[in-house]
Amino acid sequence: MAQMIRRNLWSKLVLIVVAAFYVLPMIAMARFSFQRVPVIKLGWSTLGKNWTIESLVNAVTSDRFRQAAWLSVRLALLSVVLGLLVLIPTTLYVHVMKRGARSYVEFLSMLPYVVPPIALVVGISGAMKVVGTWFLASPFSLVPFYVVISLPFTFRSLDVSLGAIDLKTLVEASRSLGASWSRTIRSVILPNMKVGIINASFLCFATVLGEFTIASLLLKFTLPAYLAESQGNNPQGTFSVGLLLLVVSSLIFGLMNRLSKRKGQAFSGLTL
Amino acid sequence: MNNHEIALKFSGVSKAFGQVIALDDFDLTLQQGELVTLLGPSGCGKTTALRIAAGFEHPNSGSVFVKDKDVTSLPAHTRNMGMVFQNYSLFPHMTVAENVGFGLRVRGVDAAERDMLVIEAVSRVRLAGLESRYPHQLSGGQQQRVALARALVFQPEVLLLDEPLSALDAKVREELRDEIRTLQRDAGIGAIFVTHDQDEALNISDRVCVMKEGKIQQIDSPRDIYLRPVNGFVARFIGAMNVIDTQFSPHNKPLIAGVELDSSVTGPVGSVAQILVRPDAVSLCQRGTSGSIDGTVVGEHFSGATTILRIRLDRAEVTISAMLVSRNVQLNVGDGVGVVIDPNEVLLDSQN
Repeated sequence: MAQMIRRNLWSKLVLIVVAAFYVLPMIAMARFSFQRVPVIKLGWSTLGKNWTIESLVNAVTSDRFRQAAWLSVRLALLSVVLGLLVLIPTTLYVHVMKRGARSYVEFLSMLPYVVPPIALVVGISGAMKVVGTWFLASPFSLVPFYVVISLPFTFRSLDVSLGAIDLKTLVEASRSLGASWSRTIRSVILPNMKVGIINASFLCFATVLGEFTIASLLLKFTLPAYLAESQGNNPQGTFSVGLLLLVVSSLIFGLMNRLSKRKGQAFSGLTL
Repeated sequence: MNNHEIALKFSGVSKAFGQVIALDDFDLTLQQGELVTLLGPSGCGKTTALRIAAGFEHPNSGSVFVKDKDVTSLPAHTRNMGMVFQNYSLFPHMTVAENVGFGLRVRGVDAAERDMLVIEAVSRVRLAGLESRYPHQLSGGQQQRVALARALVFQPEVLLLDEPLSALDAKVREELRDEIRTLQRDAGIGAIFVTHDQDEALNISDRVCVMKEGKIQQIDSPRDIYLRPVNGFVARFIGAMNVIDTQFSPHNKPLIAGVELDSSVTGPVGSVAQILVRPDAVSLCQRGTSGSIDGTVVGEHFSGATTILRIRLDRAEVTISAMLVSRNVQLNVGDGVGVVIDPNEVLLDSQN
């Protein structure tokens, strides 16, 4: 009993420390961004004074912000679409047709963890300068890079969603009932991958919204590039936008978690 | 059986996975309305045969016919076969009604007719009222009933059942086994039932096909498989069996503990062999009764309707099992008994 209480206390303490590690910087950012109080005077005594969202309003209504945000959102959506188009058939192939190839694809999907973005950019831009300079000129040249760097999250989400169901039997059941391959994929497999597809999409979207290195190296003006540019002349605005991005990302993950759980209840064994 | 029209036929089908031969020159003809069980230990090729019939595996040689049509090279979805799998193969994102209606939807049956057929099929498997439930809201037995309704609703040419009862508990197994038989008979279609459970095979089948290492050992009615096994493997695999070392007497008859059995099994004088006797062919009497073999009870296994006694023979290093049905006779470990073996039920072990 005493041991259980001790263990409970420990887990609560760890939770508090982790929560503080996450929340305190956000509070600091919020105070810096939304309180019209000189930094040197930010203390307990000024906690409730002069709160305003003016810096955020000014930042998000500027043309530069809108230009960067619009590009980032389009890049994120395109990356999600391209990533799913490439990865859904690949994941299906390694789960249904060629189980042996799964470990190779998994290894490939992990490469972005170990290949630094700068190596990726230098390598690909070097090759593209020879065969098609037009590619790097377009801001959408970032899309393939983003598909690659989000691979560790997107492939795993789809892989786990297929691993959670008895795919072989479901495919065989569908085929024995008269469904062609395309019908089986459309009516049986894809609905059961829904949770994986949702997770993969959110993870890819969030990765793209926060990616700075590749955009900066290829001189594209995305949201993180805007933040880097504006932090010198408008630090309060930059921090308020940064905080907004952090909140949006947290909401995305929260939503993803909620959806996974809800689907998991409806479709047994499909939680991520 | 409705008639003698052929529902499914395997002709010289062989299949190897690498160096392992899963099916070796397999010949089997299933009549319309007949239920044939493929029975054998793991790796005997029974599931491979079923999967070849379904179109999920392709044979290295030989052909598969549905009625008189060669379907060997046809893809699975064009074979019009209903299949029930071991591990509840219901689509988890569909309701009971959607699962049952899937085959009809694929075949383009219009919504009104589909709904009618689904309701009929669901009520036939005693699940009326559960049409809007999802698979995870059903018990294992209910899920297999839905799978059965789904496999039968579009009137397939053949019903294939791949160990459909093995994931269920004993009571549900028995119920569902009888239901499968009734539904298959009512539908009048041929069915192949794969199992490794001999009781299940004997209970449900018109004929049982016993397999070992990809080869058919015997195809016969359950009664003939049990009473007249063609070799030692079938005899040992089906039901309990006493394997007794024996020597042949000067009259070429088997001798057990000095007692000669007047059996049709014969052998050269003085040669040794193993004979096979079912526990239900061993009866008990008073110790010292003429023609009986004296022994002592060394074990007792009560299983409800019957009790299996293990009896150690006094004058031989042999322990045999005897089935005791009567409730009036109470024997305990250490009691002396006389054992009488029915000579007409003795088989010579032709294969180890």
